[in-house]
Amino acid sequence: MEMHDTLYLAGSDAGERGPLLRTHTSPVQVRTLQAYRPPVRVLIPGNVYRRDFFDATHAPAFAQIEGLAVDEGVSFVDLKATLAEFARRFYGGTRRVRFGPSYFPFTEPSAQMDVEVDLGDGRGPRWVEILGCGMVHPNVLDAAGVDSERYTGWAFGMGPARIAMSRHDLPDIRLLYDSDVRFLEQFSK
Amino acid sequence: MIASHEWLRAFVPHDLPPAEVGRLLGAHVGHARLDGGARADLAPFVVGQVVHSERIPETRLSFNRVDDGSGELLEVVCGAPNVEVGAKYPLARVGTVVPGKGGMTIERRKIRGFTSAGMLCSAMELGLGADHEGILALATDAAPGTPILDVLAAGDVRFEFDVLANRPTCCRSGGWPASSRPSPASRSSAPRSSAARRPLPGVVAEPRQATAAGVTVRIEDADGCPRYCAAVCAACASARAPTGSCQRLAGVGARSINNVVDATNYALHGLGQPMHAFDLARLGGSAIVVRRARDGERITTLDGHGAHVVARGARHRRRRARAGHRRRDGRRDSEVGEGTTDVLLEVAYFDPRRRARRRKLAGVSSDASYRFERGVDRVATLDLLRDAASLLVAVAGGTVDAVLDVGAAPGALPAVRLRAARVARVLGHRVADAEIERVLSSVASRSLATRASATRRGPRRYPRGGTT
Repeated sequence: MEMHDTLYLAGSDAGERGPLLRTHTSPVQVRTLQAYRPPVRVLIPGNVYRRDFFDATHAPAFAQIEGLAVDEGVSFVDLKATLAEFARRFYGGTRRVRFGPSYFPFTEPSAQMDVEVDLGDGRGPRWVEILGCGMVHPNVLDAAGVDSERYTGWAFGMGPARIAMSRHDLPDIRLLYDSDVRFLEQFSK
Repeated sequence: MIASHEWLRAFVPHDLPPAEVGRLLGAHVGHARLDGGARADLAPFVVGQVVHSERIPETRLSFNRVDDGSGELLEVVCGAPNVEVGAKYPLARVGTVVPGKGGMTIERRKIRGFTSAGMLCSAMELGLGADHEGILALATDAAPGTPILDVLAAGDVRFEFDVLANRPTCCRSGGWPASSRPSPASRSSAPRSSAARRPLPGVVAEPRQATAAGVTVRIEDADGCPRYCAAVCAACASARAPTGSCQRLAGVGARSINNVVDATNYALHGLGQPMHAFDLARLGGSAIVVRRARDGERITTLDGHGAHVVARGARHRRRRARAGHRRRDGRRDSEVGEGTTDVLLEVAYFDPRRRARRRKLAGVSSDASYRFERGVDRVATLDLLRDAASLLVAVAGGTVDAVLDVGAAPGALPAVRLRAARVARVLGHRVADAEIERVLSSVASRSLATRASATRRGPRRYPRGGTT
C-alpha cells in the first residue's frame, strides 16, 4: 500500500522516467550519515512534493524541516522530550500537545505530534498534526554504513506551514501561498 | 475505516464511554475521529406505547391513542397490520422528519374523520432496514417518551480513522491491540452465532484445481491469487436480513442487502476478510477461473456503475465458464438476490501489491480493496471460510455441501525477532517482559516462543509490520 501518490518529471522519449520528486525530506538522513560519522545532529529544510489537492490543509509542494540525531544511547525518550520542549517554547506552554502512533517505512517505532488549535469557528478546539517522527530504522543506519547495534537515532519531519497555522490559528493553508498583502501586513511588526 | 462502538463492545465487553474508547484508540492505534451518533437524524423519535386501538371501518387503518410520555395521549392513525395494545413502537411526533420517507415531515392530518398527530414507524421508515410490512415493535422496558436512540443499537457511536500501513489487523473490529483494550484481562473473541455450529464437510484441497459438489475452482494466476477457498452452500433461503443485522451493518456505514450478502459483510467488517457470495445457479454452475484480465477486457462491477475498461493485464479476476467452454463476462449477474438458493462463498488471498495496482488502474476503490491492499490474514483463509459458511447457514438455513481449498497456504512464516534489551535501548524505557508478551500476543494469535537469550519469535501472519 502506498502512503502517497508521487510526482515525477517527464522522462526521455526512450521511455525512461525522469527524476522522482521526494515526498519527505527524510532521504537526506542517508546522505548526511554517508558524509558524517556519528555523533550527528542536523536540521535540514527542504521542499517536498505530493500529489495532494491544494485545499485548506494540504499543499502539493511545501517546505519541510528534517531533524536528525544519531549517537550512542539515543532513545525515544530523548525524541519525545526534545519535541515536547520545542512545543513548550514555540507555543508558550499554553497549548496542549499530544503524541500518537504513526507509521513511516524509515522509522520504527513511529509517532506523530498533534497540537490543539481553536480557529474560533464555533467548532471548538481540535487536534492538528504538525510533525511525524520516530526512531531511525536500523536498515537506514546500516544502509549508510553506520553500525545499528552501536548507534541509535531519532528523526522528525515538520511542516513549517502547518506549524504557522497552528501558532496563528490560520483557517486555511493557502493563505500562506497567496501573497495577499492584507494578510502579509498582519505579520509586518 | 469505520468502527462501531457497539460492535467493538460485542467483541470486547466493557463499560467505557465512547470518548474514553476514542482516547485509547488515538493513543495506541491511530488518530480516531468520534462520529457522535451514527444516526443523529433519529434523535427526535421516541418510544410510544399504544394504549387504545380500534379499526377504522372499511379501511386497513387503525385509530390509536398513544402514550408518548407527555401526560396526554396522542391520536395516531396507522396503516400497519400489527398494531397491538400495550406494545411499544417508534413514534414520530408532529414536525419530525422521517428519513426513510424521502424526508417527509409529520403533520397533523384528518384521515376518515379521525385526527392523526403522529406516526408509528416501520424499520424502513427509520432507515433501519427493508422491513416495511409492519411497524417496528420495540422489545424494551423503557418508558414511553424515551428517545429511541437510547433503546436501539442505532444510537451507536462511530469511530472513523485511517488504518496505518503496518496495522492491517485494525481493519477488523476484533483486531485491536491489547494496549488499547480497556483491561488486560479482556480478550477479543468473535461473537458466535447462537445457532449451534453444524459440522462442515471435509476439505478438498489441491494446488491448482479442485472439484467438489459439481463446482470446479482453478487458479491460473497463482502469483496474483496464491490461495482461493470456496464453500458450496445448498438450499439457503435468501431473504430480507433481520433488523438487528441491518443495524449492526449500519453502525459501520454499510447497507443491508439480504441475509446472505449481509453474512459476508459481517465477515468483512467483523473479521477483516473480504468475502463474496455468488448465486450458483446464475453463475452458470460449473467453474471459477482465477486469471489475469486480457488487454482491454471489460467487466461490470457489482455496484452496477457500467463497464470499466481494464488496463493491460492488471486485473486478475474471477470469471464464470459453462461446461461447454462458453464463457461470459461480468460478475453482476451472479449476484445473490431474491430466489437464490445455492450459494458459492469465496474467501481468497490476493497479492496486496497487485490489488493496489488494479485499484488504481480500474479507478474503483472498495471496502474489499482497502483490506486486501493492507494485507489480510493469509494463514486463516480456510478458517475464515468455515466461520463464514457456518454463519451463512445459521442465518439463511441450508447445508454446506463442499469446501474447496485451491492453492497453497503459506509455508513457514517469517519470524519476527525481538530482543527485550533492544526494546529498552530504543525506547529509553524498560518494558516488563510480561507486558511485551501481552502486547505481542494480541496481534500474533499463535503463542510466542521464548528463547533463553530473551529472543522472542512470533509468526508474521500479515505481509507487513515493524521490526526491531
